[in-house]
Order: sequence, then structure tokens, then C-alpha cells
Amino acid sequence: MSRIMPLRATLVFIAAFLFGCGRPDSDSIRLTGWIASPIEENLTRTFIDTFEQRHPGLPVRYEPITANYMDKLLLMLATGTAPDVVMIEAFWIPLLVEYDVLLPLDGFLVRDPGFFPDDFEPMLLDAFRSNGALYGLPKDYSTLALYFNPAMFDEAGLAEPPRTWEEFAEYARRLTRDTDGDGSVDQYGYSHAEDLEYSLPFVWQNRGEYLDAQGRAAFGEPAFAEALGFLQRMKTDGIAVMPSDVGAAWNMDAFGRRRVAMAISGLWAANFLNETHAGTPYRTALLPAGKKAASVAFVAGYAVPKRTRNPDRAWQLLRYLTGREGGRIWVKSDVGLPARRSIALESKIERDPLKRVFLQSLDHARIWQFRVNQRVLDETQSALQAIFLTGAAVQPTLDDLKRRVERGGRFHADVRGHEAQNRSGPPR
Amino acid sequence: MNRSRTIRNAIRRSAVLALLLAATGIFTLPFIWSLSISFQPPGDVFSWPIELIPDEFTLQNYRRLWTEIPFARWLLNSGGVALAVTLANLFFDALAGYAFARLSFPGRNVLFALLLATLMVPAHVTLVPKFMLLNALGLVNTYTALVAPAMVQVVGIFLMKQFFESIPRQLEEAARIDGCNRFQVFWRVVLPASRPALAALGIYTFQSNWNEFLWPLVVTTTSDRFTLPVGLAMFRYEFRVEWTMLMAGAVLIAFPTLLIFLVFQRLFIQGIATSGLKG
Amino acid sequence: MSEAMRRKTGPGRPADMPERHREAWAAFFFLSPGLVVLSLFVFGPLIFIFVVAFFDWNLFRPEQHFLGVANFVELTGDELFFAALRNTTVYVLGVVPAQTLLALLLALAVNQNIPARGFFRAAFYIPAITSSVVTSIIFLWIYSKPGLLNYVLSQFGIVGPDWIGSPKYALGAIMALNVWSTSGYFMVAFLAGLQSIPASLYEAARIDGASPWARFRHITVPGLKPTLFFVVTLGIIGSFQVFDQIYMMSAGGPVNATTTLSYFIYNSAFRYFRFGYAAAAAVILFAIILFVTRVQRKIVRPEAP
Repeated sequence: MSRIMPLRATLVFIAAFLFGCGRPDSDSIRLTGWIASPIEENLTRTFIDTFEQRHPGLPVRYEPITANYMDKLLLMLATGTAPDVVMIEAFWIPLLVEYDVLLPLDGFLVRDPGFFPDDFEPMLLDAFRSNGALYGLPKDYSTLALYFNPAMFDEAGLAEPPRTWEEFAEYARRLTRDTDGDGSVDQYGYSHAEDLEYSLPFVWQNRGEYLDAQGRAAFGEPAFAEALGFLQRMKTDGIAVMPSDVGAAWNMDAFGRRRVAMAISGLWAANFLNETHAGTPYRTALLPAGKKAASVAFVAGYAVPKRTRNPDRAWQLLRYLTGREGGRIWVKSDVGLPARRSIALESKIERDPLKRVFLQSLDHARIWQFRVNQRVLDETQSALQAIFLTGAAVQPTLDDLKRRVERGGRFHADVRGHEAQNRSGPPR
Repeated sequence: MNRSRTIRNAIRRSAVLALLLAATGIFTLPFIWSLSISFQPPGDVFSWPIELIPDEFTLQNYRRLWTEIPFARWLLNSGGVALAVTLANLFFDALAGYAFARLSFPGRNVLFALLLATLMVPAHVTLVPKFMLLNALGLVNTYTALVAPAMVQVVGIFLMKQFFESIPRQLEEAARIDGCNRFQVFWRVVLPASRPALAALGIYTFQSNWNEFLWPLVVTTTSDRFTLPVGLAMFRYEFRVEWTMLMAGAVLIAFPTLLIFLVFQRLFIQGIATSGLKG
Repeated sequence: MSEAMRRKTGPGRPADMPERHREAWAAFFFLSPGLVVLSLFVFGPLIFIFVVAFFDWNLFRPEQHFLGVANFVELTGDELFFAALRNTTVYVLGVVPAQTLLALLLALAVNQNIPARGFFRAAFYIPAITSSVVTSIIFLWIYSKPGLLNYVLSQFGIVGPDWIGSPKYALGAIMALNVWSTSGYFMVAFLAGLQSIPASLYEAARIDGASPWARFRHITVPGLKPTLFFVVTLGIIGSFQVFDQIYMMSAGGPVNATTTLSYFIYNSAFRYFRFGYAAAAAVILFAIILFVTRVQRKIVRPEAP
């Protein structure tokens, strides 16, 4: 008898783990998102508290994903374990629409006169539209702008940020210095990041394209190669570095460590600099322009998965997250500019010397969104790494890339997609 | 002659000792250093000169693990899953091992050879179909998915079979004569006599399941189902790495296995020796 | 005795069932839980992988299309797959001999008559029982540009690279990490092998006046053959599986320098969601491992002479 007891206990314990401990409770609305900064995380939690106070009977469960966001989110969507409301970058809308995993929102908008969708910046709302249906709502956005260190500019006798490619290279040269006189350079002009989105403004300014109007590869064209060649030359000339060259985790980390005088990033970088490198002075300016001005706009928003158990509750949370009241809370996070024009107006962004640059950039910016699959994007990333990390020749590398992705119909073989903030392993 | 040999021996021994000490440094310093970083105040862990003893000692990183991230939840998941898997293995592996050791049935040798052959199959070969099966059953992101595939392992069956073959049959025969059925013999006579083998298997299973990364990585999707290694691998902010906190988490993951190892060192070594020599 | 006989055939037991059958039924009862689990999660998947490999199987699509060998044909034209094959080959050829040799050396050293043997054995074994996530985090810090390794090198006037960030060094750095973390485990296996060699053999050889080298060559090496076979086999299988460190540290990059077969399979399935394509690559990985371990069996014969 006493011997059989442990047997039962063992079996019960195993069984409890196998069959008990059910799924997440079905009462709360589940929400997920990535975390751009601890401030944003705290803000999300206060946001949820406010929402729960205003909507008794609608508890919210926040389940942030801190790394490899899109890998995890896609797996959740595929396996039916996704939360009811998901934060999503506009970039992914074409992919997710093709996977048919998002709920169209048009019906909710029609039935909800108090939501005012016309208040959104039209370009941002359109980013969530596909084949005439709306699959998400924008929360905030940021364009890319130039960060520069005014103290370093003063020391180099430069009064203004560069306006053209020529000035950009010339200033970078003058800002590259040996500050402690030990014979080796320790301050560089510019820090580039190898990801496609940071080269893209230069490509667009040079009238180049990543994909043409039909969605075919355009990165083999000379205009694309020229832009990358310009950036690569700055590196081989020793006036620009990659973040890892100076022991930084990413390009704004190099800027914050005062190893470079200029770097390109979005509004989220200001947040990072304030928190992590509080002593580094910085200002922002429009990107230097090539044949024309161009920048990239990253749009973040929320969507509702098709397999959600309760679409109406999900809508309640979604409309609050992207509504006028919710928008006012997001403004404080400083990771993006508000997607609603009324909130942009009332928070006086045009008068904010830091933020207005990102607002102005929107005039010549294009949305970060392509219809290619993940595999092609990873191949592109590898090619850019070869160009910027190992100094591979630009045109042959791009030709090779084109050959690799067009072979076997890989360009459109499976469903098209892309990623933006999705890298494995902690950044170095 | 004898004397010069002693001297030569002494020289050789001190050379070996010096080499071993150097190797010990290479094998343990990374851990000691991470322990040191885990007690540093948050901030730059890269400022040169890098020193082993931090200027300032703080428990802040450990405190933040419990307050800022669901570390306690991951700890519970890891511990619960590893414990359930271990218990399941002790029971089921022993059952199967006993059948192979003591019972004759048609196809025994073929079946055993088949089991041993699966040891050659790397985890990545069966990863995709295993995931598809659990997804078809709607079990992705459940504890079932974490526990069920690991409940039985061929190494365990093998280990138990080897051990059962080494214990004398007389005990079992006596129990049979006393009227016990085969399961009662197994449960009341054989298992109690197999404590050393069960302990070795239990420790091995717990340790390897505690450290398992690939399977929980693909089969859990939300943070409340993560195990410790997956949780820690997923923990980072978009734009910065909290090295001191990461190291504190790493120390806490490594600590239980280290403790078990130091306490039960002999069993560990025994487990490898038995499975190793006859494999 | 007769009492026992009567009991066996007495009431309450299926008298008409021969003992042989009853034993088989008992075996079935003892084996069934194990076989159910192994069938579901080992044998079944192993068979199913050969089915999936011939389909265009995407997790997001409700229906799957039969492709025939198209997945395999596509693999033969996929340069990333060949990069993965190349990296895996380099990895296995580098790590297996290095860890085996290091483990053997450590075992020989620890097996000497020296103080604190238990301490050394434990110290070398610690990396082997530590979570790969933990060692990856520690080595990310050690290998980074301003990390510990470069700091040590700088003491000798060497300016080290960003080890994981450089396509030239990333794979080697991860290989070194794995040699470091696995050799302790294999050392213990070698130690057990060394201790299983009868001391009388050495004694006899010493009386015959054999030199230390001759004793090593003619007693230790043949005596360790079974262990060597075990260590090399496990080493090969483990090396083909390397994933955790690559996922944690380099994500297959930079410039695909650390994309191995196992990482390629993982990415094809859980990043590109092409389960059929991943299955095809897994079939090839399986075939390679079968082939390599068979060749290995020919070279290192397990049985002692």
C-alpha cells in the first residue's frame, strides 16, 4: 500500500502537467507588442490601467514579446495562439493579408461614429489597407533623420548640418579626428548600419528602387549600386564606420559613445540617447539630399487576428489604443509621432526643435513596406553585410543577390513578407 | 637510478599540475567573471581595464530579475516541466528497460536495436513533424507540449536495462513465489534495489531537460509558457542590452545544475561511464 | 515448490494461457507507455518527415500540394543550403577532432597521480552541465569587440576583431566555444575508459621494460578504443546538431558565415514557414549523419583487439 502511494503521486503530478493547467483565461483581452524601451513598457501598463478603469468588465492581459517579435507573432498566428490585439508594423500588412490571418476592420469603423478615422494622417492609414480593406490602425510613426553632435561640429568649425551628399562626405572627413593625440583616429564622421532601411533613403534619393512597380527586383540597377557605393566609399576612406568597428551595439550606440559625429535614425533614438547616453549632446536635421530628398517612414499600429475569440472586445481595446484619448498617452512615450493629426496639432510638434524634423521628413518620405518574402530579405541583409562589413564590390554582390533570389522563383515562391525589428540573439 | 626517476617523476607531476591549473582557469574563469558582472551596478560592462572584482557591489540585478521580468514564472515552468519529465522518465524508462532485461517476447532484439538506432537521429530531423503533430492536436504553447515528447528517452531505457541485467534474479524469483505479479515484483522488489541507477538517470534527465532550449523555443509562443533558457534568450530591449541583468539571470539558471552536480558528482560520472562504455 | 506450481496454474490466472504468452503480454504492458511516446514523437515523425519532404507544406495554408522531388531539386540550386553544408563540414571537421583530443589530454592529465583530482575533474565538467544559453551569453560578452578576449590580447599588443561580428572569425569563435563546453563531458568518458584498463597490464609491461610511450601506444590506445568510438560518434551527432549558440550569438550571420544545416532547417521551417522545404533539408541531414557514422565505424572500430 505505502509503496503504491508514490506511484499514484507520480502519475498525478505528470498528468497534472499534461492535461491540467489549462489555456490562458478567456475573460481578458490579450494584447501583445514589442518593447522599444522601458519607458514605453511602463506607459503601456499605465495605458492598460486607464483602459480598465474606463471599461469595467474588460480586463486586459499584456503579453509583450521582447525579442524576435515577428518570428514569434507569425508562429502564434499560424498556430492560433495569438493574442486578441497585436502590435504590428505596417511593413507586414501585405504578408499577413496574404496569409489571411487578420480581421478586416471596416465593419467596426462604420458602426462606430465616434472613432474619427479621417483624423489619421492619410498616408499612414493607407499603409494598413490592402485590396480596399483595412487591416490595422496606425498608432505612431517615425521617419529617418540625421542626428549630429553639435559639440563636435563646433570643434570642426562646422555651423550647419550637411544638406547634400557632397557636404555629407566632406563634413564627415572634417569630423574624423584623433582627439587624444595618440596617433590613431578615435572619432569618425558617420556611423552606418548595414540594414536595408538605412541605405534605402540614399537609394531613393538617387532615384533608385529596391523593387520596381511590378514588384520585381530593381536592386541590380546602377542607381541602387551607386548609392551603396557612395556609402561604402565613406567607409573605405576611413570617415565612416560600422557600429561594431567601434565596439557599439548599433549605430546610435556608437553616436552615444561619442565615437561618431553623425548617424541616421528615427525618433526612438532620442529616447535611447536620453536614457543611456545622457551626457552626449545631439541635434536632428533633415537627411542630406541627393538628386532629390527622400526618407523612410516606419509606421506602427495595431491589428486583430482573424482567429480571435471575441472580435467585439478586441475592437474595444483597439479603438482605445488608436483613438484620440489613447493617442494622447502615446505622445508621452517619445518613440514615435502621433498618427492622428489632431493630436499632433495639440501637442505642438511643429514647434518642438527635435521632433519637427521627423514631421517635416514625412513630406518626402515613403512607407517602409515591400512585397517580398522573408527569405529574400535575409538574402538582401547578407549581401549588405558583405558590402559593408567585408568590403565586397558593390555591383557584383548585387548581381549575385539578384541571381540568387530569382533562381527557383524564390522571389515570389512562397508568400511575400518582410521584417524590420527582428533579429536573433542580443545585439552585440 | 631510483632517485633520478623520483626526481623526474616529481618534475613531470608538477608540469602536469601546472597545465591542469591553467586549464582550470580557462574552464572556470568565464563563469567566475559572469558572477562578478552580475553583482556590478547596471551600466557599461565594457570599460577597460576589465577587472574581476567590481568597484561597487550590488544585488540590484537580482532584484530586478524578479520585479521587471516574469523570472519567477519561468523558474516555475522550468522546474515543473523538468520535474514532470524526470518522474515520467524514471517510471517509463524503468518499465521498458525491465521488459528488455527480464522478459522474453517476440521481436525483442529487433525492437531494441531499433531503439538504439534512434540515438543517431538528431533533434532537427524530427523537429518539424513533431511540431506539426502538436499543432494539429491544438497543443502548441501548452505544458503538454513541453512534457509529452520528453517523457521517455531511449538513453534511459538503455541505462535501466543495463542496470537490471546486473542485479541477481533470485530476489525476483522469491517474490514471484510469494505470489506477486510481475508489476508488483518490478515495483516492490526491483525498483527499490535500483536506487543508484534511478538516481543517476533522474539527475541526468533533470539536468538535460532544465537546459533544453530548441524544443521550448519552437513550442512556446507566449511568455507565460517560457522556460528559463528561452525566457532569458528572449529578454532584451529593442535598443540596449542589460548585460548585468542578463548575467544575473545566467547565474541563476546555472546554479541549480551546478549545485546538483557538486552534490551528486559521483552519480553523474557513473551515468556517463555506464552509458559510455557499453554504447 | 509444488505449492508454487499450483499457484501458477491455479484459479484467478488464465490457466489455459501458456507461460510464454503471458510473459509476452507482460512485456507488452511494460513496454506500451514507452512505445506510445516514442512512436508519437520519434518513430512517427521520422517516417512523416519523408512524407512532408515531398509537399509544398506551409503552416499558413489550409491545403498542401504534392510536389514530388521539387523540394530536393530546389535544394540543389540553393546557395544558402550549400553555404550551410560547407559551414557544417568545417564545423564537424574542426570541432570533433579538437574536442576529442582535448578531452583525451585532460583525461590523461587528471588520471595521473596528482593531488585534487576530483577538483580538476569537476572544474572541466562544469561547462558541460551548464545551459547553452548561459554559455552563449557569457561568450557574447567575452567575444565582443571591447570584451574580455580582446582585453587579454591587448595586453600583448594585439588589437582583436569583433569576433562574432566578423564573417572571417565568427564560425571559428563558435567552434572554440563548443570545444570548450563539450570536452569536459568527453573527458569523463575517457577517464572511465582509462580506469577500465586493468592495472595488471601496465604492471606486466613495466616488468618487461616497456617505455612510457610504448605502454601508452600498446596498452592505453587499444584499451580506449571503445571509448574513442563512443566519443567520436556522439561528437559527430552533437556537432551536426549545433544550434543554440548560433541562434543566440550570430543568427547565422554575418554574411551567412555561421549558417549550419540545423540552423538552415530551423529557419526554413520557423522563419520562412516552408515546412516541406525544411523537411527535405532534414532528410538530407539524416542521410549525411547515417553515412558519416557508418564511415566512422569503419575507421574507428568499436571492439577492442
